[in-house]
Amino acid sequence: MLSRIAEALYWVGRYTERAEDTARLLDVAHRASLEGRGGDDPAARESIANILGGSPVDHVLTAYALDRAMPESIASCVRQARESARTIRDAVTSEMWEALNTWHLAVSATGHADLEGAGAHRFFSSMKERSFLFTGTADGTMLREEGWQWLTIGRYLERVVFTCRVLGARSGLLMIPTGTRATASETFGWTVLLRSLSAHEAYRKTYRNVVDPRRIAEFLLLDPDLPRSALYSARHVEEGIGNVTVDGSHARRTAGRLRADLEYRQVSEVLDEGVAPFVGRLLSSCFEVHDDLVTEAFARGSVVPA
Amino acid sequence: MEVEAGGGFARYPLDARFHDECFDADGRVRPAYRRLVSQLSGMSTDELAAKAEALELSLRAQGITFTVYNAGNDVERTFPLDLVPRLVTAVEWEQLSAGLVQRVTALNAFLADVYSTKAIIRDRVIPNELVVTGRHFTRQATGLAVPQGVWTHVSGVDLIKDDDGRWLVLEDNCRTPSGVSYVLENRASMVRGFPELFFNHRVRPVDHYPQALLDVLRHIAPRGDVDPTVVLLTPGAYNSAYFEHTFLARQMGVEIVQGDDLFVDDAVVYMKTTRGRRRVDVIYRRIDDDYLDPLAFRADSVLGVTGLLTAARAGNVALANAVGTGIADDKAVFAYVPAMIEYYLGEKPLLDSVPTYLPAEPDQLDHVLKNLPSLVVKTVSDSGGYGMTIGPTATEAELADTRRRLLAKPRAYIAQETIALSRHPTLVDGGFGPRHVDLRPFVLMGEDVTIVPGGLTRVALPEGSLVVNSSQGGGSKDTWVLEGED
Repeated sequence: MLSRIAEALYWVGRYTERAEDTARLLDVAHRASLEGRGGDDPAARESIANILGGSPVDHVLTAYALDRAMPESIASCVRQARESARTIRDAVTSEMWEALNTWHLAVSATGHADLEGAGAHRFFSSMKERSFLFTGTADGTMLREEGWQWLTIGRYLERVVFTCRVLGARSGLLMIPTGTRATASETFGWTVLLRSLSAHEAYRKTYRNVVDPRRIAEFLLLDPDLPRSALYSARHVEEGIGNVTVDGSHARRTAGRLRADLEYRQVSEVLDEGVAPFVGRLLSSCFEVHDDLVTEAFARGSVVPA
Repeated sequence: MEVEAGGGFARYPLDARFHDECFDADGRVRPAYRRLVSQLSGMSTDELAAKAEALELSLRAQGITFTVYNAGNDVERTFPLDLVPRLVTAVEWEQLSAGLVQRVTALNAFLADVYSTKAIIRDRVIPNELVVTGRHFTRQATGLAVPQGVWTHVSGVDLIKDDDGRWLVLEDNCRTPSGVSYVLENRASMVRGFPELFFNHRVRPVDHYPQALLDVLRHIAPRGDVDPTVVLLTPGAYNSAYFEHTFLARQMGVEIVQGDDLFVDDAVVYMKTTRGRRRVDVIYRRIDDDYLDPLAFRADSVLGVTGLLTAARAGNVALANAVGTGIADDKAVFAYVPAMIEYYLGEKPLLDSVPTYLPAEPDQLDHVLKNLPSLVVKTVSDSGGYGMTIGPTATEAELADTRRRLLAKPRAYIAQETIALSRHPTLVDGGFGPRHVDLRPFVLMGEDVTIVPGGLTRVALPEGSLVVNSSQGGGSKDTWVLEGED
């Protein structure tokens, strides 16, 4: 596959995933702000900025949803995904393009007034649905060739990054010694955290008892079956890279290391090290994987071997 | 004069100065259009509006847009598709396509000749001066042995109908003509959005074009013994025709590449892939000659591939169209195409051209100067309607200025008769009104010459306008070549 096309598909995967993750995070933050403390309080605002990047702003929901001047906003992510796909229209199916293009048109047609009252939840839900539509369309229409692999690698690498960012920003909540009695606001915070990664119901199903910070950390980082856990996503990154690179590539090694770091880890080790330093290390590994892909597979400025 | 049709046609105005594609001079519906008019006239304004909206939505959802460059703020627009199809009868199409095959065959022979033995010049059929001073005469193409002898793999021939309803060639496009994707997408949209129109008509299909194009490209592959790698070379996503490039690449199942995806090593072209280099055999390039290879042409081009022409000359890669084909669609050379047909093929031209005069020829200069108010004067080197003086609408001062310029630099101009472009019913303001149309069929030359039935009908949407260009309020119509009646 052409290096340029592989790179564009990789970015389509990353940006669509990021748009969806951001929508989910903001939706949960919005709900939290209505129920307890959240979006309107400066701490919550700051933590959103920590996760998504950029500096804290007023009207955090509308800014991260619609502000096109902010590269972190949903509108920017969708536009970038669509622009990447536009440069490689031949490499995505017509159905995928249509899903992406109508997604972009829907965001463009949304104004600040549309996010008032019940509109906010409606908007964030629709953004998640658009992402599901795109992902499902890709799943149902795209040939399982190399392009599919690049799209998948981008999506799951972004997911590892996002999960790590969310956990990093909320690490304080997870570092409470076991056995201490949780305050109401801590319990509430854990619920919000799980919901931010679409893991609340799954957690209940898996552990069937009280929410416990140690188990939350284990679930979100190390669970092999949770679609947004770091381990689950890292496995897909490694698998995808294994499918499209040759033996001895750096990217293969760094992706393998990222996955192994999670695969054989016990949650007690994570808590001993500290959640924040641990996810910090995972993030560095993700960036290494990305850099290796850029130099090796995307052939940026390098001599192309025979 | 009123027409014999109701509904949306009730106030359709006829004008004796123009040929109407749908109605004859007495306002009677032409036989080929009877079913169409009866269907359309039975529809209410609301129904028509709903159909038009469905077509527009279909185009927009598919992202069928072109880019309008606008001071840093590029906008993507759809190329509006009018819901009234343009009909061409089987008999008419047979005559037209025979004329097109003949014309393009002669143009190809001309290119092979002017870049080698120049027999047509030695035999004084066309002046040497006229050829070698042409803006697109390309010395780098001299002596080039193009694979299978094909130069103009894809040509777009612009046709109009005059006030007598006679087809005339307005110009040839032998470089990188665009628009064929609209032909295919318009048909797809019409079938999707207006299926009931197709129930009563037998319309010849167009969707085999990409396969026919791929056949041409595979035919010219220099290495006969391997399955050739064919690519489409685009200037990139910001080119106004980018949609078409990706569309064709996808339909053909070939890679679409940009200049920096390719490189030349030892006169062989390769592309950069995630697993290393891969050899390229055939390039369907949608980049002008000037930008193709910074070594051979414009050194400041960042769109092209360094060393590409060397690879082509070495016979290691085939380019479609070949370099240098621009001389065949030079506006002054246009006047000699009928002579070319007789010279190379020994046949009379089957298609007429818009009468064209060359001020560079002394006797013709005289005619041009005398008839200036009724002629269109065009500069030879410009395209897209730039540098044009339209006699019937020009002021005295403009005519005087044109006269001065003609006398000073006759080779820089041509003059053509002004043609009253035919008109066609088009949906406007809830009813049908006449709008001017042209037609660009696409001619493919490989092992044989093939033409997909019909072509791109462009329509000037503003009332009275003669400009069909997409950037200036032009739209398009689905063009239906009808099967003959059994």
